[in-house]
Amino acid sequence: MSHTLILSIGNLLRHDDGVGPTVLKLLSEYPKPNVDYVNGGTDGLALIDLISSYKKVTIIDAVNMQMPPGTIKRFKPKDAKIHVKSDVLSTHGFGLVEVLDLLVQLGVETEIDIIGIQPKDISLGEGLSDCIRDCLNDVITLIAAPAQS
Amino acid sequence: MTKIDVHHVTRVEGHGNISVDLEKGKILKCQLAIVEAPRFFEAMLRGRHYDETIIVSSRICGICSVGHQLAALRAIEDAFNVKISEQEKCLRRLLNCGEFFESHVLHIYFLAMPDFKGVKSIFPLAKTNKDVVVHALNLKRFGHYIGGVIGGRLIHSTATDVKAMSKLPTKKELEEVLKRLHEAKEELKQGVSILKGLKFPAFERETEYISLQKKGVYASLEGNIYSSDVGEIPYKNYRDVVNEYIVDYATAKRAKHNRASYMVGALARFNNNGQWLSDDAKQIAQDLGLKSPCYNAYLNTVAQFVELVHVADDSIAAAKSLLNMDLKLEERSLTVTPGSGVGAVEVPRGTLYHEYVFNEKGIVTDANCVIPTGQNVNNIEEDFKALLPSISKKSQKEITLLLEMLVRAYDPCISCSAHMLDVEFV
Repeated sequence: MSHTLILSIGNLLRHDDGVGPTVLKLLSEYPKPNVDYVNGGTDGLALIDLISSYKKVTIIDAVNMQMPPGTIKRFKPKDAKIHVKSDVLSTHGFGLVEVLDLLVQLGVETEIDIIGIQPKDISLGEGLSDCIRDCLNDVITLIAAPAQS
Repeated sequence: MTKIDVHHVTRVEGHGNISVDLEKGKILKCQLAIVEAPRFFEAMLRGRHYDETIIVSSRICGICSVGHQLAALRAIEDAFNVKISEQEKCLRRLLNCGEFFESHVLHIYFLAMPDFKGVKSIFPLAKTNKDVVVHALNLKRFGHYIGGVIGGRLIHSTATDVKAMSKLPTKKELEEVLKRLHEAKEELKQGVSILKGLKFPAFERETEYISLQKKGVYASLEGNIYSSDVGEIPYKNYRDVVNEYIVDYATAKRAKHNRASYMVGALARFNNNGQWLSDDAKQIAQDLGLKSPCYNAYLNTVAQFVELVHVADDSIAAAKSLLNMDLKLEERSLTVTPGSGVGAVEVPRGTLYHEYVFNEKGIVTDANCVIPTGQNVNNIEEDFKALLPSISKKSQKEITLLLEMLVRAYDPCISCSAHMLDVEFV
């Protein structure tokens, strides 16, 4: 098992929600030693075991940060007030939010970084918005840079 | 007047609404409306080659993807008169086991359990009942594992193929599967004490119970249809059983057979086939106070737990058989003949039917998929009607909870949706 996991979250069929898998595909074309690249899709529960089996995980995901589309932020789960919508939960509602919350509750010690990209359009359909496509290089550069703690 | 309006019921798969109007104990309105947009899978399947039906229909559901694959395979085998080997049967039993663990564990612990603990989801339980959450995750992990080893990946198996499974587990993997099956059974023993602590609502309404049946086994992937009202019905005559129709307030088709409604799923299987459960499953049913016939739909959740024990036992037998075989990749020959085929299998939520009509090139010219939830909707509404008079004096909040719990007990699988992270920096 490698030490580091680069994990993408998101749905390629919802325009900019697919930014995570798109970045992951680009990164995995130039793999680094000791790093695994996994597309986590949209099934949150399966991620619990996956994340907890690594020392360090970088998650790439479209995140609604109330910022201009294309804004990129690197943050740790504790730096953000992540909204757990427990009262609207359905089976597929076990998303990343709930997984991150549960990992904390269960005392998992994996070091998690989130690379959040503010999407413009997450309606049904394929392809990224121009402003999101334009920021892909910056996302990749940020992932390559060491995390600021 | 008491008005119950739940848009949408949470902790179920997809979107469904409860609408009830009660006046002095009299029911003026009582509806469970499935309001998901139609998904047109049957139309998408038309024009496809027979071997694509497995891939396309699997996408109907991320929880029962294996069930849809196996139903499609059975339909193809039925249409082209294909016989499958003992090796293939055992591998399918193991694959099915993974799906039952995934699905039943998800329902019992993640969707149904919070109601009994007075919380809105399993996440607060991680603080107060960490042992329950860890236990549930252990069982779920086992389902993930077996699905990956046998099916090639967790969901939407890539190994399932009309020519036989395209990937075989190694001897080492099968030994590990066997070891983990025994561990899963030990984990289930812990679950008994957790389930014993849950207080299920007292409610009984006898209905028609429908499942597959094959005498001598707890039918899952083969057998004819069995109705507790009329007995055995050939699986090919499934249309005479489901009699699908629509109502103007919902998008899902409904079904009825001998009376206004019937039930499919774990409780129906337990009632019809309980005598063929494994000895350990029978013992655990007894420990949990589940006796056949059981007319309390809330106890479908308990029947699911009993089924987990049985499925684990059945998979232990299948894994042992496979270890005694010299496993070889098979490539069944298949002669395409025009005509139709029906696949009937038991999936976690009940009996699933796939029917395909093929032309001389093996292209689908017509498709029909009948899912368990559509068959159960009428029965849930009939349960509402029987339950409401006895609870009409309770508060609106209490009535709502009891109705929601009843819907959840059926473990309905309505549809899927996409989600995204919503954060605010602190």
